[in-house]
Amino acid sequence: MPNAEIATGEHNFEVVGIARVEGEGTLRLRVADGEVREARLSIFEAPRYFEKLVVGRTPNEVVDIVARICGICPVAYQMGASMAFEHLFEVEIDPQIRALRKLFYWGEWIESHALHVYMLHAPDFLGYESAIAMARDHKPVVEQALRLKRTGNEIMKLVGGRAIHPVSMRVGGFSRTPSREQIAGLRAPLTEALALSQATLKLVGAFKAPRFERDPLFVAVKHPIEYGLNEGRIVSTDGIDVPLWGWREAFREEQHEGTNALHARVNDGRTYMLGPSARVTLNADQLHPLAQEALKASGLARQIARNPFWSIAARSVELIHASAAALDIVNSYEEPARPFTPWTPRGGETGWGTEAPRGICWHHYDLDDSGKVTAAQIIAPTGQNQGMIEQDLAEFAPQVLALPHPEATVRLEQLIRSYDPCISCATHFLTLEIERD
Amino acid sequence: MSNHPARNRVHVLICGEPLRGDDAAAPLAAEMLPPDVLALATITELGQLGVEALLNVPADAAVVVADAAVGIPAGRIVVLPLEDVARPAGSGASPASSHTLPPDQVLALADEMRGSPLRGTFVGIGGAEFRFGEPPSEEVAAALPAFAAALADEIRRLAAG
Repeated sequence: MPNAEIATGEHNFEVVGIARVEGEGTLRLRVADGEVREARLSIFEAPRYFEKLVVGRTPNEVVDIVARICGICPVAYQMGASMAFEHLFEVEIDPQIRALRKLFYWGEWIESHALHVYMLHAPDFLGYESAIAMARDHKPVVEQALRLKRTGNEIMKLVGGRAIHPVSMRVGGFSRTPSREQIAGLRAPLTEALALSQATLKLVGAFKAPRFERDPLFVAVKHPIEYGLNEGRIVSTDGIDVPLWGWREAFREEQHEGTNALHARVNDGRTYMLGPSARVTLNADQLHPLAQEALKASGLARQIARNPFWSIAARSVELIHASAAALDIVNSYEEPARPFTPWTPRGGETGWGTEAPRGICWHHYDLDDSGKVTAAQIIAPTGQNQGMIEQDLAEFAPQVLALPHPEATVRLEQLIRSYDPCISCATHFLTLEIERD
Repeated sequence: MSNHPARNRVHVLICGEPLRGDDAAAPLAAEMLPPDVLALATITELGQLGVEALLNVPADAAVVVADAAVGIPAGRIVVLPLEDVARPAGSGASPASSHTLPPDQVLALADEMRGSPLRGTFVGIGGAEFRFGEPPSEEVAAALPAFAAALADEIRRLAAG
């Protein structure tokens, strides 16, 4: 949504160009005696509205509706909703459907991670104000990003019916499944994507990240034998271990002043971190062998675990994993006998969480006896990461407060971008306000 | 069916989320385009403008990007050359989004990757309300026919070469 001021050539940093108004993020730092007393990131999140919108709807309607929450990670929302209902209805999923769903999700990861690594985060590391400026000097790098992103889009379009807000996902499977020949068409782009992903990690491995280390509580989905995605348990670096439907056993949401988004905390009040760095740290031994090998060769495992700026490397490792895992699925795909398993609705309470590109996205639904939703709770990764983002900002900000305001803003934005927050699934920017007592 | 040669059709990128108040303006205006205009155009609906959509526009084709805009009064219609909307690199402080690229950067990036500026027009309408679940504001609802007419005029003009 272009701002008319931009169109007439004026650039106002405070208005910050193009913004969907309620999607803007504002960071307020309260500084006294050179110390950051408070860091508050005010954001708006879409899922709150959708929690009301799905009330009275059938499970399949919910799966279609929640895809609209986000233009970048619709699969995450569809997957969480669908699997929550399947858990309640005790639906057995065909192994090929299960594989197809993973392929679908890896497509979303490839698209989302490629966009973030190259277009949003790499310019910070390379000293460019935007991907445009970077493209002028590094056109092949941007072309690499677009090819990776296109592969992700192709997967989502083939499996999901369209790349943005896919339509084929439904409870029990899909409304239709691709033929073996159609899936085989992904082999060449995925082979290229794998090579590009390996090159991506080498590229970002040469970046210099700001010096900043801490020891966060990481939380991710862990599966006994696979890299955590749709199945397994929610675990943490300090021993939290709850089922995917049992998020509330370990975590809670709470309202914070100044933000529309609810923050999540561990039940004992601690902040925690989700997303690529958490997953790579908790599940490194379950990465695809090619991704494990690349991570080892990069020597970045420790930095990923300690320094949030190195999430760019974690994302790159996951690009390798997603491309390689998707390619394995393509190579072994057999068209399922039927696109979905029939099911019978029932009343009850259910929940499920899956790994969206930026971390666990958790759904909870109450259903009446006819199988219609009577209450919903959708907990997006950004709300869960928000406490950790603010904590990191407060700890990191003293390093940059002496810099001119625009430079300080860029540094703090770089930190926020490390979390790849989905602020409102629209275009959005950060406005920085520093209040000095 | 269109009789207009495919290679000469104007590529119309309709941006906006129909569930989101005034962000629905462009999708709603597209539904109001008359058949003779639709015959001149290849219409693609996008939630948000992406670089790929612009790179898919053939080299010699014209493009119209339609979207709601902030920074102008609700319901006001603006028609601007795309090159005026694309924010060039090095034009000052420009904090990147934390989740996706904004349209001015998308346009500029597409120009950079294509090696030359896209030929075309941005047709926008000022919006007031962008909350999920809200209908378009009164101002935007009232201006939709004029917005659709402006869009149609641009398609006809560009199709005529």
